Amino acid sequence: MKKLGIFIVLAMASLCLSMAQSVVPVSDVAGLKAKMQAAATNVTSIQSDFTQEKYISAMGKSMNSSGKFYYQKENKVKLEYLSPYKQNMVMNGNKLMMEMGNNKNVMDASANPMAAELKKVISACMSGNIANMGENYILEYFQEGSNYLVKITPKAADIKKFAQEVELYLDMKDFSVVKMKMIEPIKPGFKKNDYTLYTFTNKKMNVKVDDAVFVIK
Amino acid sequence: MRKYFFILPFVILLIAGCSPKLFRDLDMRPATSVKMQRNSLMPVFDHLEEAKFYSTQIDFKENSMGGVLAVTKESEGHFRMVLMTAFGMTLFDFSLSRDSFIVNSCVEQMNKKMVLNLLEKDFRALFMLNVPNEFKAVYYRNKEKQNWMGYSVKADDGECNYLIYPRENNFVRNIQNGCFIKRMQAVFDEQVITIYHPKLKLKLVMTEMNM
Repeated sequence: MKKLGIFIVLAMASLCLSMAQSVVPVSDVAGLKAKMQAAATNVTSIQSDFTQEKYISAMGKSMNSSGKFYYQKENKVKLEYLSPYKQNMVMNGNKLMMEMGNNKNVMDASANPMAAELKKVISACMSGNIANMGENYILEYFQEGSNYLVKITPKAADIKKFAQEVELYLDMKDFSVVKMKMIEPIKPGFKKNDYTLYTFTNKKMNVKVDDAVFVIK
Repeated sequence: MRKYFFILPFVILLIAGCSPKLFRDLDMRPATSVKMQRNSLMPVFDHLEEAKFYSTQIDFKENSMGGVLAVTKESEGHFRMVLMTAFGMTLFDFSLSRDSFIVNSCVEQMNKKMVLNLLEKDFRALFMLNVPNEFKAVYYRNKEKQNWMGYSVKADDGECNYLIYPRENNFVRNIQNGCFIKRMQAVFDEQVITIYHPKLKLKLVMTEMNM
């Protein structure tokens, strides 16, 4: 009877282990990079829904929001938040606009090297076009379930203050971005990092996006 | 004795003239000196059971920026506040108690002594951490508005005036602190908290978000 009990426990443990999605390093990184580059070249625009989960360790809870995501080649990104409040974040060329209610804040990223770098990271990751991120980042490639996972670590200390690491989950079928997790450095006295997790769904590739969507005034 | 009686109206006029502007404008006059406890000032954040989020707009001269401010009570008298942009980037993360102000993180643009001092002072007044648990105050009242309460308190950072009056099922709290360039006024009204620095042309509006 005792042996049967041990057998059941072991069987359940092995079942649980096999169910958990393992993260395996990609063996042919050069091949994967070439496929990603080719996929990114073919994408001219993206429209999708997104959810955003901002986890704040100090609060012990997350703040959730959702809306529409737009991308237009080159360098045009918009996050249109619809819930819980309407607000917009638009990147167009060197400019970055945050809009909350009647309040607009437009920043010229070219005047601020760090803002320019952050804008580059966000834009590249959200569009999935990470091939040209440059030598300022360490990119590691993994396979996790039906996704590729690219771990992006900035080398510059000032960028690391905002994003210690970015985890980018790409759909294996079309290399589109499924999830993007920006992980902040761990804060003193806490065991968990703060993070912002974007999840993209209902993706439509290469559909016409009106230029007016990205207008910054 | 008669000569003192003659002086009395001037003394009353002098006291009334020295009344804080917040009370003077409402025709509130000093009634008595009272010994009171911090709880009597109805500190809003003392009863936080879980984190609260505020959609926050900061206007400074012609510039403005927006974000979300998260506030939580870590333990009795210890608060934590995190300001982040709409898309999740943390702008500052402070821990505050009566004895300490810890900057856990802050973006370079705001990480300046003057800015941090101003924010610390504002948050201390907002959380009512600039007064001890027991203190002496001058009680102000307006005879026609019997349920309005005005208290002038010698706080850690100078004179602090509190005006509390009922509205519907809640109370409006109006705090005035400092003078000249350091003058600050905070108004708690329903789900909106507004902080003004008239001389600095700085305004911060926090609107509670229902998450």
